[in-house]
Parts: sequence; C-alpha cells; structure tokens
Amino acid sequence: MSLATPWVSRRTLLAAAALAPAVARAQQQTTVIDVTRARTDPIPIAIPDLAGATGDAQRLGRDIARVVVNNLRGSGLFRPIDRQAYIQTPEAAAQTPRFQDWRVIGAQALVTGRTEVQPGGRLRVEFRLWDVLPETQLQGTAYTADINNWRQIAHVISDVIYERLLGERGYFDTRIAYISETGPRDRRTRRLAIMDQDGENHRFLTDGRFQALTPRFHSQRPADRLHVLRRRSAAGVPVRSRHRAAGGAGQLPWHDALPRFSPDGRERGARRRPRRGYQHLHR
Amino acid sequence: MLGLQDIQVTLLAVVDQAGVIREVRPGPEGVPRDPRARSVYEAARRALLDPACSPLPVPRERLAAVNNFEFRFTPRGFIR
Repeated sequence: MSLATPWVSRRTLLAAAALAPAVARAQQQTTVIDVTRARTDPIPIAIPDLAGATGDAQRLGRDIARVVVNNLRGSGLFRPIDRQAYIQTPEAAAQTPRFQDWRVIGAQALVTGRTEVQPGGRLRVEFRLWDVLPETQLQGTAYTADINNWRQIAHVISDVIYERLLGERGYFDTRIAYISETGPRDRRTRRLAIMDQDGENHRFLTDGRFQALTPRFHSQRPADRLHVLRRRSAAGVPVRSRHRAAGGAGQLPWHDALPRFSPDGRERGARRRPRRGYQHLHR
Repeated sequence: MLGLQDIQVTLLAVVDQAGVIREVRPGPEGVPRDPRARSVYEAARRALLDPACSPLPVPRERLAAVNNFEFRFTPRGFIR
C-alpha cells in the first residue's frame, strides 16, 4: 500500500471487498467432472449434394457428394444421414445453413458446397464443413482442377473432413498399384494395374508382354513415378527394374530384385543377384 | 502432434436450474492448437451440446447451488 496515493488503495480495497463474495461464490459454484472413459461412435454427418448453377455443375455436385458419402461411410467412423430426412435444400444450405433443420435430424456435422464449371474444362469446387450443435464453421476450402479429376477432388474433400473431425490424416486420396494375374497357371499374364482406393479409375499400365512384379511407388512423387520389376519371360532369369513415369519407362543397368526408392526419392535401390547366388544391396 | 496419453481438454459448461447445458466455453487453456487435441475438444463440445446429454444427471438440490461445471475430457480410455 502506498501512503502517497491513499485514495487509490482505498478504492482498490473497496472494490476487492465488494468482489470477494462474488469470486468466492463463483469458485464454490464450479464443479469439476473428469470424463476418462472415452468411447467412439460414428459421427452423424449430413452431406447434401453440392449446389450448382448449371446442369453439368449440379451433376458433378451430386457425384462428388456421393463419393464423399461412400468414403466416409466405408471408414466406419462416420454415419452419413439418409438424404430423405433432409429438411433444407442443398441450394439453400449452400447459402446459409439453417442449423435447427440439421440438428433436428440428428446431424452433428454438415457439409455444404457449390460446384462451378469454368471455361477450358476446369472445375471449381467450394465446400464448407460445419459443426452443427455449436453452429460454427470448421473448414472452408475451394479447389480448382481439370473437370476429369472431379473424383480426386471428392477424395481430397473426404480427407479434409476426416482430418478435421478426427485429428488424423485421411487416406481417401490414395491409389493402389498391384499386379493383375490372368490366364492359366503355366502361362500367367502379369500386368501392372492401378486404381483409386475405392476401386474406381482402374487402368492397366502395362500390356502383359513382360512379367511385371513388386510395384513400388516413388516415395516423394507417388503420383507420377512407379517402380516395377519386369521379367522378360516366365522362365527367364534376367530381371530388370524399371520405373514408369506418366508416359514412359526407364531402366536400371543391373539385374536386381525388390527395387525400392530411397526415402527421399532421389535414388533407387535394389538387391543385386548375380548368377553365383549371393546378394548385395546396391543403389 | 500430441499422443492420446498427453491430451486433456477442459470445457466450461453453464447449466440452468433444470440441468440443461445452455452454454459451453473453452477452459482456461483455450482451444487447443494441436490438431488431434482440437478434434478431442470439438468432440467433447459436441457431446456436451448433444440433447442426449441434457439434463445432466445431477441432484436437483445441487443444481440449485451450482450452475457452472468444468469438464475435463481425456481420451486415455482408448489406450489399452
């Protein structure tokens, strides 16, 4: 307490005296509850079609919403609500969600958005993720891509929803490379194939003229680099590693097995297997 | 990113005389910045605001004296 400014001290004391009972009462009125038994139920989520101004945009909005619904339902961690229960229309929800309409059907999360087909075959997709009960927006993002990549946009949106609501990275924008085997047992045709994680966009990258084995994605650029072991014939020993880019293929100068990319993606490594039978690691 | 064993989020809930949660605010630490902890915080907020959680199963005479609850959520129950 300062003697030079007694009136300040007096006011402070008076204020403190006046507040003390209220502070004490507030402290007494707070009860602490520890919730330690966590359990997980699928999150009920509403995903209406993305709105669009034209017929093409509406069709793409419907298709994107369908892919997102399938992705999230397939994860087992979300429970998409039947769209027959929706009260607000997708167009109106894309403008401003009426949260009571989504709360009453049991939705805890809501996805709204809009698609726009732009000149030059481009597609712009805006989407928003809402937390229905506190009525807050969790995420708002726009993507522009070639219109043919609408399915990948849907996977990316699924990943964002998954990560934002669960705190873990999503896996929907993932491609799977595998070796397709067809034909009789003694004349198998092995072809390198690739598809989205949901089985769509399937295509063969090799035509079966050589045997393809052990595909590996490039560690840094999985979108355009894929390692594949190729063998000239079913009985032939020579085995060569090839990497296949978007349009062509390269070749390593040795016979090898189990080719992999290094973690930084700059080098290719393989086990060398000369005819004497021992192996070395090479890069 | 935090592990499940490190996460604890605190929320303050204001409850009316009937035991219905009327308002949920972040605790003294605020909204977590860590993505995983933030998702736990938001899940806890959804749980408190869910109509299934109201009214709180608290004796009526206690509700007359207490209207602020501090909930501390931890997902450690997932770890076995």
